[in-house]
Amino acid sequence: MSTPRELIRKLQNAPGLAKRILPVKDLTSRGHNGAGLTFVPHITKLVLRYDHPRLGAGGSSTGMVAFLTSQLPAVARARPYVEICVQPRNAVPPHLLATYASGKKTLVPCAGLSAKEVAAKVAFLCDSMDGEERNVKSGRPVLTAGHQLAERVDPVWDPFTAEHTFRP
Amino acid sequence: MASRTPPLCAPLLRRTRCGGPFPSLHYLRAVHTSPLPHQLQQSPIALSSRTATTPSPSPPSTTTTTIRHPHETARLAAFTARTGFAVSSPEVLKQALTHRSYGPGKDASARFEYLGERVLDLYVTEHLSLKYPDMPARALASVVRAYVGDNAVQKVSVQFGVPLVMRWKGSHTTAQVEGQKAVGASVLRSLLGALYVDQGAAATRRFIHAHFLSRTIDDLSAHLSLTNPMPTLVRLTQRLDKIRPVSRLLQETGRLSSAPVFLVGIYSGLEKIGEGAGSSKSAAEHSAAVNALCKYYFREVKDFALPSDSSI
Repeated sequence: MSTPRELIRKLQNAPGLAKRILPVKDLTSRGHNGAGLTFVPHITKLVLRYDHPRLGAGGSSTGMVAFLTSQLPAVARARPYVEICVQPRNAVPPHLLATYASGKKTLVPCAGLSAKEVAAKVAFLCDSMDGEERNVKSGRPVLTAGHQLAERVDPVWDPFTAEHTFRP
Repeated sequence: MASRTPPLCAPLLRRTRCGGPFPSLHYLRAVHTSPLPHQLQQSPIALSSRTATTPSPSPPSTTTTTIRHPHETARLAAFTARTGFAVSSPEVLKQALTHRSYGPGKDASARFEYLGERVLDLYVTEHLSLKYPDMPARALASVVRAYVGDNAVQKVSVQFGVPLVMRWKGSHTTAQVEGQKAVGASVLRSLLGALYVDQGAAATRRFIHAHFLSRTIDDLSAHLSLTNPMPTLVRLTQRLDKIRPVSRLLQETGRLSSAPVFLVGIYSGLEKIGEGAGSSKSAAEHSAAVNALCKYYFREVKDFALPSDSSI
């Protein structure tokens, strides 16, 4: 006669059975990057690609080249955690390619941008988690748990807070 | 991107040597003379294909690990700055980052991996056993596993970007190879072992405290085996020479409705040791017993001295 624990394990692993048994709970610890005084930046590598301006080509890379010559050493000094790679690419518009720790690669086109704009894009990529821009429509950076259910005009009833809910 | 011959252009960038002022920044080898327009059509720049494309996987080398080109210096320097993992030489770092699946004769990292696993286990167990002095052994083992088990080490290794820096069997191809996360966990353990041997116990313990013990557990009660909390609680109170616990109904609402709520408190004499709510009286009593057990077993101590302080 199986114990309840063994029986549950058998039901969970049984092939062909409709899995209505809850899966085993994930008990792994959770990381909070930056909460314990140590922060590991998410970006690993930044590749800057440009086509050098010359007669008849490369005009859209002027800003990028100005950034490379004037500001890049300072950026590299300030951000030692990024592997920065500069690569010329013939007949290709200038762009940035950022690789993140999750393996995600983000490509940001820089054609026709000024050095300041390229610097802003570089800073955004280096500070970002995956290079995606996120618009927080609610205007609050952190959304409280259950905000949709609790703050409605007529909130969902639950017995634990029924008495404390104001009903005009 | 396919590699194309870079254009001859005005001298743009100085070449940096390995280990220069900005080790994490490497430039392409530039031309040192400005070309005339007709020279643009000729190709004479003898750049290695490695510098023009993403770094090709290096073939399995022998036991000597000398760094060959700036891509590697930059990658390792960035890794060091990102993780705070500082060893005495890049060779040690490279050895630790080479998994045994990379090629034949890669024993060093396997030894580091074993040592790193033991060191991690030691420092985390030591810390947690003093932080929760009343926790039962099985629960403590489960909590330690949550911090240093495969899942946790994999997550920390992905956070560090170890799979992008390590050398393993998947480095020989650009195609996706199975088992990257597990190998990443092995390499992280090998890094810890290398740090322990190279930098000593103090640096390793600081590293582990910063990156592993800063993690948190969502629900500690899930690590406790609570099949029969009430008899367990009775036995616990007997062991502690306390009055036998009695459960009392504190509050209730909606008894005959479809969503009743009962609030039960467990009392050892006059002292309330646990409280729980539920939709039936027995469910509430169960919840209260669980609460009482958790309050006792998961008592946290804030400031304590570690036994390894004396040996560091």
